Amino acid sequence: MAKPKQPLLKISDFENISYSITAVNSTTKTKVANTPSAELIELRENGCVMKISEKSCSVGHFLSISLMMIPQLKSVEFTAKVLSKEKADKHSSLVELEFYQIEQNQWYGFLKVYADKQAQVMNIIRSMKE
Amino acid sequence: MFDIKSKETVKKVNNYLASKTALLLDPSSSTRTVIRKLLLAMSIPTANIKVANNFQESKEVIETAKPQIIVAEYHLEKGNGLDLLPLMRSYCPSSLDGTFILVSEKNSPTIAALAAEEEVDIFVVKPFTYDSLQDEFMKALVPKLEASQYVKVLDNGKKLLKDKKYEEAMKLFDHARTLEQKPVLAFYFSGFVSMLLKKTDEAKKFYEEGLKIEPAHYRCLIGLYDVYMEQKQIEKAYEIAHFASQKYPVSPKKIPEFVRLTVLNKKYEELEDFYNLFINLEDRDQMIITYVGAGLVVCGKYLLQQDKRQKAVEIFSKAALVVNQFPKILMEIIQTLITANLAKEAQQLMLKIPETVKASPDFQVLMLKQANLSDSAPKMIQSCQELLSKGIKDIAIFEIMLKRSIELKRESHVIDQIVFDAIKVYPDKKSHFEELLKVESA
Repeated sequence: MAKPKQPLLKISDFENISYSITAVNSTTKTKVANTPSAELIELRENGCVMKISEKSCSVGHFLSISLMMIPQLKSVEFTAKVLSKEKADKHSSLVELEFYQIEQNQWYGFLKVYADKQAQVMNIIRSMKE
Repeated sequence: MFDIKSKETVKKVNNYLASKTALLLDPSSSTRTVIRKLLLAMSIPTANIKVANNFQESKEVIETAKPQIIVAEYHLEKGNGLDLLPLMRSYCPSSLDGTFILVSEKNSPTIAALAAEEEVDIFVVKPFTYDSLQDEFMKALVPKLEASQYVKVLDNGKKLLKDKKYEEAMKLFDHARTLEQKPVLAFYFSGFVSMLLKKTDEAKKFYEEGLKIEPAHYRCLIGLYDVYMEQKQIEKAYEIAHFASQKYPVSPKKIPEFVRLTVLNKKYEELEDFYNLFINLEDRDQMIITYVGAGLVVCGKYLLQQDKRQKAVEIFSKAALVVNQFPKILMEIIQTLITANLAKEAQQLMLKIPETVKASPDFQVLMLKQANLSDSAPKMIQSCQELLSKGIKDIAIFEIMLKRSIELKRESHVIDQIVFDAIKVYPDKKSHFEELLKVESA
């Protein structure tokens, strides 16, 4: 076994990836969401499911959303139509969004970051358990 | 490898799940909705999917429904989802029968390591895609359904371990080693049982055998690390820990132990690394704070010994940030700075001490010591008298009063009275005060 040269612990092991959200309702021209109240729940090829404040939109409205990856500081911007809306809890709703305007490669990049993270986390678990 | 997408496999998993009960604990109803949809699609009957809003509700569901599948959010208002895992293992000791899924928006490798050590089956990173979620479920469930004889024997051995039937478990692990070409896990469990039976040398042999097959096998490495710690072979333990930490992320639970190991190995300058990690850490429990803080204090003291005063002050400042809720360690840092004649730095840290602690005798004495680095002799004597009149009789008060009285050339009967009072409180320090009188008067 080689003599230790690197530090015992690696800072990169402690780093999380996350994102921030800002959203504007393009139909009503009002600002509707900010982290932490807004949350991405499910990512889809052509849209996503988000939790946002209850009164921020109605079905059929268009939302302009900007996601900023942290710590990469890469942003993804898109406009999406509210396909469905259901109550999530006392103050928020779960909205199903379908992209109307998006730079698809940016979105795929975002999906890839989370897919890679999921794969990394499960690889760690498998390699440490097996 | 299994084809998790094949119709046959999907059917098999769905049949398996059709008789199972699941518990969903996630404070975010939105996440629950998506996961519930997946569980329904995977054939778990609606009535068998229980939902809990908090930890307490989950415990109640576990007691009554004994779910074989638990999906829990890691961060809860009170406690964390991982705490449900031991409850599940109490009625479902086999990892082949139960599946535990942790959901979290935190996704660092260290949190994954923590989940791995607790034997979580699936860690779902939020936000997720439905397909990735389904794939992970399949990847976790299919091997349970298709478990080989080797895996089943190991699993039975683990059940016996839970019942503390170590000798019987060992027989199964011995048998398991004959069932596979590369039985690394069987070697690991044999080593683990040997450790429980206090047969350290035997355990070492098993772990080493496992590592011959797979040189970076995590469990065997950690097992060997435990052997070296048990045998007090600190350098070897450090080497193993270092090797493992280059291959795998370190669980936050291991941080206190690694701080200790670093101190024991006298790698004092490496202790600063723990601060850099600490500031990135999401969950800092008391144990981590105490160990990282104490480790930094050790590092600072070492730097002072090396006369690297500026660097030492920097480390002490970092230590103070870590332990700012722990006045006892803060006071130790201040004491160290005072001893090193770093009055200004000590004074700055004193401002961080909570008001409630400032009234304590220990802190009053610390303030006295700090003032003694710069205040005049008459002022110090007055401060000492004030503390003594309050009933605070720390040895340092008598020492300061004696030294500063001699410096002021006070009358001999006054000085004798100080020594007399000091010896009265500290009779076992008689020679110490007499020597002090002699040295300071010379």
